[in-house]
Amino acid sequence: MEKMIETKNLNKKYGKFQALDNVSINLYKGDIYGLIGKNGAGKSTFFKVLMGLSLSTGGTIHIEGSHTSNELNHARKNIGFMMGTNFFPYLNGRENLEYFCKLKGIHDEKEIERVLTLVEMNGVNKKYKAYSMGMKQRISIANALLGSPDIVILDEPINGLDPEGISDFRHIIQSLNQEEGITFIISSHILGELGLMANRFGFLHKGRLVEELDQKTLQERTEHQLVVKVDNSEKAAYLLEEVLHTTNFVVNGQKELVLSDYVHESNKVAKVFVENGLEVYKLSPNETSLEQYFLNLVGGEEHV
Amino acid sequence: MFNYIKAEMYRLTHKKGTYIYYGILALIFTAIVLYLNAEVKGFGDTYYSIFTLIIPLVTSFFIGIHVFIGIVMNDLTAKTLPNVLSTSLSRVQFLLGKLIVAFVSIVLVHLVFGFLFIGLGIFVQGGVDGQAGTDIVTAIEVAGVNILGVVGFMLLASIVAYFFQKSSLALVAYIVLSLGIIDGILSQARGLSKYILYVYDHLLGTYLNTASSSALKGALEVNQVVPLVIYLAVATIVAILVLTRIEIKEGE
Ligand SMILES: Nc1ncnc2c1ncn2[C@@H]1O[C@H](COP(=O)(O)OP(=O)(O)OP(=O)(O)O)[C@@H](O)[C@H]1O
Ligand SMILES: [Mg+2]
Repeated sequence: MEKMIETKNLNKKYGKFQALDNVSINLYKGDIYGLIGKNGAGKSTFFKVLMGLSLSTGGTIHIEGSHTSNELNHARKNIGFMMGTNFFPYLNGRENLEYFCKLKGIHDEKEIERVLTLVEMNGVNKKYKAYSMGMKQRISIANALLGSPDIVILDEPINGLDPEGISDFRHIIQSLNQEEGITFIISSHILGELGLMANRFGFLHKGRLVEELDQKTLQERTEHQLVVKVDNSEKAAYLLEEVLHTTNFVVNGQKELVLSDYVHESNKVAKVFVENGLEVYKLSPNETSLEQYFLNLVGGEEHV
Repeated sequence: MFNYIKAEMYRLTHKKGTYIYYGILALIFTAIVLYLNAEVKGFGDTYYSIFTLIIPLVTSFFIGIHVFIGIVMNDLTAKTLPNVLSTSLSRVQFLLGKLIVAFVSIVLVHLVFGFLFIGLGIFVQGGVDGQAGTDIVTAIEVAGVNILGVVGFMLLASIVAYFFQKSSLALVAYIVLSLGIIDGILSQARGLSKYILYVYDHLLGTYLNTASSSALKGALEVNQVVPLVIYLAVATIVAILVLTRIEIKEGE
């Protein structure tokens, strides 16, 4: 499959603080990639480094097969980018888009109308400063779609949209993805928002890509899980890997093991643990929601 | 870069506040001239000599600050830098584009006010006299020096603007520079040490004063313009160096 974006061991340090820690992501043509992470996980930093707004402190970026920094800069032309909702307050939405059309060298006069219609903002003629939050969000999405770029990067595009707006947004993204073959990478701190539309997910936590999976796997994993609480979770993890040959588990914030294998064979798990001298306090099947899965993965108890 | 210049010109010409601002400036100027014309007998004869002296001082501040806000500060207050610099526009192209847009805007504004100035001159003097021709050449020289000064201050302040990416700081920097506050302080202190004197002698403001006063006498020399151009070139290079090294802030 054609790689649209590839990062290899991307690092970003702010002083001693590691904002991105060896992030390697592959984005293939036709993907809708959901980048999930809590506040401060490094989502925006990742996008800023991708777009050249911030310099990486290690690792490489390849966009549409670029190899030199010149090619990389040139390839950024094919990316529509949205981060925050920032436009010139004294211009209206149309004029702001006209500004970016001129800047990007888009001459098609119907283009502004097309993207405004997509986000249902074609009837709004107010100055940008008079926009509501959702309107600002919509115009920002429209700006990223200008000129039908190959790749569209959206940093938290759902913030501030009403439920109807969210549903419209999903439809727009999915139809552009299917009809125009646009590849998307969309960040959010709520997995559920993207669970219905993305085909691949990456979980970013404290600058590290802690897990990457496709939608099918995510579905399987979130359907049934086994929650195990023991006195020594490190030893339990070791036993799962060495004796039961599975790495399909995470340790959640309460030091419980959330296991996606052996869901219907909990007796096997219990036997191994007990035989190896572990105290088993809890061993129960758990129907997790998407959100729970995400929180389990990154440790639901901690906050930034 | 040409695309960026087009976009910037589009933005600036669609900012209605600009027309209101310059409209008010023009009205105030016209009102002052007409008032003096009605009150002071024989004012018409001294029109050019009075105003070639005053206008540069006033315009360089009032025009300069408006151009600076429109061209440099708006990107910071509207937090549009991430949107602009995430296109394939390089930061060097961005800065050179800004520089060209600044020149074009300042020259355009000077032209408009120049015509107003000459038009009012013809009105108060009751026609064009023999002197007017040389006066206009003087006015153009004065305006030219003025334009270089405004762009120079703008570039120097933009170094601060891009380094900190804070609009309030950028504005303070521009005001401090264009009002010659540093020049004033150093001018007081220049007797204290030869280093202060050296710095004072090489300030943009000092070079501008020398060039302006020569231009006013109709005796502007090339070697007075050269330092101004060097200032512009060095400031451009420093601004590019700063801009290519900074992290573009996200904006809320
Ligand atoms: N310019 C900077 N200097 C120092 N630290 C920074 C800078 N920018 C970001 N960080 C830090 O890097 C980490 C990641 O920030 P980032 O904005 O990428 O998070 P995020 O995942 O986008 O979060 P959010 O959901 O809140 O937008 C944070 O801890 C943040 O404090
Ligand atoms: Mg963010």
